Amino acid sequence: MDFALPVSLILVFTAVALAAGSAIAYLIGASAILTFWAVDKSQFMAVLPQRLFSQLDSFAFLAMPLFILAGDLMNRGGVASALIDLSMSVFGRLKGGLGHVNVVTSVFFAGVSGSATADAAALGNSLVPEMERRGYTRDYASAITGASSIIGPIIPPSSIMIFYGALMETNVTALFAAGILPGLLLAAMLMAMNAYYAHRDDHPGGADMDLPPFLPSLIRAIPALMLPVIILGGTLFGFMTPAEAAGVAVLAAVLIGIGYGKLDLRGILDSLMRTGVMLGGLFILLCAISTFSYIAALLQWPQAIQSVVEGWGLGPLGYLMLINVIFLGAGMAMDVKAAVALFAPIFVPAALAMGIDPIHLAIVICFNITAGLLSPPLGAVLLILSTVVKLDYWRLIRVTMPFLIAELLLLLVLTYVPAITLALPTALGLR
Amino acid sequence: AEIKIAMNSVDDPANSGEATFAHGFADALEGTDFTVEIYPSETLGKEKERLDQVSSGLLEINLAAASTAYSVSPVLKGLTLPFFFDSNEQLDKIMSEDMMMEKASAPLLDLGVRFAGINFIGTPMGIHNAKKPVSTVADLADLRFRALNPEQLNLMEALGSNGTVIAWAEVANAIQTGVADGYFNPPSSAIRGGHTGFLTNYTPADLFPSTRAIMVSDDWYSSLSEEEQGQIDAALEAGLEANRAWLAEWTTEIAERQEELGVTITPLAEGERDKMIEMAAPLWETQVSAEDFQLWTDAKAAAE
Amino acid sequence: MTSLKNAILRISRVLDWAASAVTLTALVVLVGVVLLQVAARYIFQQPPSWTEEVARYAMIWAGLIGATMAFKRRFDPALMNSVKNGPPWLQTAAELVRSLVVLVYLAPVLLYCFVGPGMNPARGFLLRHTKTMAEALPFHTIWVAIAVPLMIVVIFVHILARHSGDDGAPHRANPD
Ligand code: NA
Ligand code: NA
Repeated sequence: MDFALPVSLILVFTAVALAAGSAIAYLIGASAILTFWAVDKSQFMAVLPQRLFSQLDSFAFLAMPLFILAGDLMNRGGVASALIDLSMSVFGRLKGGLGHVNVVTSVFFAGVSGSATADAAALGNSLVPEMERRGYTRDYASAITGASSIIGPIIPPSSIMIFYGALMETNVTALFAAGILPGLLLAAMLMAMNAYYAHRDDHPGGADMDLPPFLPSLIRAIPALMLPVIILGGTLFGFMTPAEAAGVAVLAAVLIGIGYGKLDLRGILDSLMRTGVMLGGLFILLCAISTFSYIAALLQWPQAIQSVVEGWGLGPLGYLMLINVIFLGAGMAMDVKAAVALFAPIFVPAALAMGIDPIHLAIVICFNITAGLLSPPLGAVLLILSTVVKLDYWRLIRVTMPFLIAELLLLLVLTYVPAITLALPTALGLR
Repeated sequence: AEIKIAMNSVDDPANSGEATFAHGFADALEGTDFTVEIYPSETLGKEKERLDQVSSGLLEINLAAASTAYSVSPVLKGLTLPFFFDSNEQLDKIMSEDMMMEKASAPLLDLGVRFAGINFIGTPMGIHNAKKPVSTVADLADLRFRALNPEQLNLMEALGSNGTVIAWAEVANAIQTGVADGYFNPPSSAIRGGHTGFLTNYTPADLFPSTRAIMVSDDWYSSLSEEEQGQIDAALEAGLEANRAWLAEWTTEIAERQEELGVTITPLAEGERDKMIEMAAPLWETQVSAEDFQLWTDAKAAAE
Repeated sequence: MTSLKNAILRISRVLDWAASAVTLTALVVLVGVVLLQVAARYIFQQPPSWTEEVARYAMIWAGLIGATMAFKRRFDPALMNSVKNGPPWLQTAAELVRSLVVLVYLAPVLLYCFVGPGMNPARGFLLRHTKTMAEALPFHTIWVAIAVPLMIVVIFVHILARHSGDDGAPHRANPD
């Protein structure tokens, strides 16, 4: 059967729809539906409702709406501003102090959440408006929020690593340990970049700036500081699962917000409403991705790609580079877990056979697909962030680009210096 | 004609009982008009989706979790009766009894699914924990185990231990942080989940066999010619043989693998399994209907 | 014509109001159940086995019905927004294309809620869920699955409203 005509029609349809300003979620769904028709597999569309249902019926997502809600409540209830005041009184003397605060907050957030999108949604809600209020451009505030959000799934706990470990029979504890140094390195690099931009673009901060006094700020921030203590302590010391910790964070954010006198029933309802809309936007995207990944799996696109690659005869270094390209592309084009599920089983066994360390390989792959969260066409973090901060998606892509490039350079270092990822797992006797 | 086999595990015949079946099946069809495509790692969907697809003829063969099979055919819940089976071989004999296959097949066939038998995915379930070697039932008293469902919770309590329901995605976190101390699973789950780093104690208690149900689309099978049906039947048989051959090798190697990963294996002390059987037996008749339990008991007696 | 348009706009508004109520309720249930699970783990030493499942189902309701709210508010991100500054006829054409895209995606999904492969009504998604029990709860999963077609129907009404003059500005609680 000749697919040339139907495929070109789909491409034209997609281009027209793109230009007309179609929402990405519906566009992915519609293109996938047309592909079912074009390749004569339309009877398989009968799986779609259940497919969509199963995609959403997942325990793994549970922490996400709760963290979005907690973030929104913290923002409305003055938690964010209390924390930011405190951080300002510490970091404020530095140029670009709030940029540093943003990165450091993401490091703390990473210890709580396994997801970059949750980080971006929560901090996009609270820190970006705060940075704007203090004189940063929305572009820069959003860019550093997006760039630092991917620390979330690199520093443990990490849902991507758990998923990868389960799929590829890799020791998850070792993966967790292996993620810590790369995550901290990423944070350090982002802070260095922030310092550079702060001086180049004359960001707020500096000795003569009007800073909140330290002690009153600290006292006011104590309830707010309890939140990360509850969440981090709760999960790291084994009192709660992440979803439970997120639930407790919601409760704590409500109580603290009422305590600060900034949150009433109206505010809580608005928070819930906003969380519902954001969750809805996310869910329709997940629905569309479930449709797309089904037709891709059915047509065995991943396997077809693999057989092409096998013909190239690459060595270990070349193969690692290829893995970078593939998983970066996969992370760009689809859901993170779908990317792992589709491509890891295909490309990982060959890498292991070449003697590449499984833990190192896993971290390289996880780092890769999280970088894909920041890149077009489907950078999930930036998609969510663009709706949260109301910034044009492509503009957000452009302003985040320097950070993304730096992150990719760091990825290259991690790829070719396995010692960075392997040091901690080795020291802990996990490999 | 193309045959799609969908499954949960990765396509790795060395380590996966599902993949050994799939490849054994595919190899047996070489030289026929059939081509076999394997869809591993849930690429065609999770359990319920694959059940839907095989029942509606969109998918030819599905390797389903036992829980998926018994959600349709309750008698198969007997597959998870704790301490009911002495060995995988015994289960094989029980399942080959006509009365068992007939009772198990009927509700599945109503749904458009032919039940083609049981596939093993490893050694039977044992007791993993992060705290201490367990050799007696009394050792379980101060441990808290992750339970998959209410049935497992009941079992843990019946054994004088404690359970807490935790989703699989949260297990690693929960155990490392002490929300739970361990779980009941086959060793392969701990290895695949990467949990052996902290679940350093294992007791092979042979709780119940680790199985999958082989489901064949009835719409598709019925549309085949008699000759083709014969080819498929022979290929299914070959797949099962490949799976049993893999299982024998896997069973002899698994302890060595666990030890390489730093797991201490502690066998149950003399007479302890009998104690556990006694404690768990009251659960049998709550887990399946009285009629189904009678069937399992009869089939077990007939298989002796 | 105007009265029809007004009727559509009114139905769309009422549906959005109902969707808000449902989503809020589902989110409150989600938070409540997760907190109950934490409390039960520490106060009664034993979380009930059904909390996780209730939490998941509440999330599905909140997210799917929330999707209609996101649609109504034009909250779903697009890759390009350049037509915004074009002439009126171009904007009308673009709105039609956007609606077509949504229809192309969701109409087959809606269809297969009611029928299975080969248009067999006995094997539709919804009917199958009338026979599937929840894992730890005494009800059929149809009560969760029904959210899928509901979402689609409500979105279709909102599409009609868009072509009847709905500008996407909600009557209350604009999410910003
Ligand atoms: Na994390
Ligand atoms: Na950040």
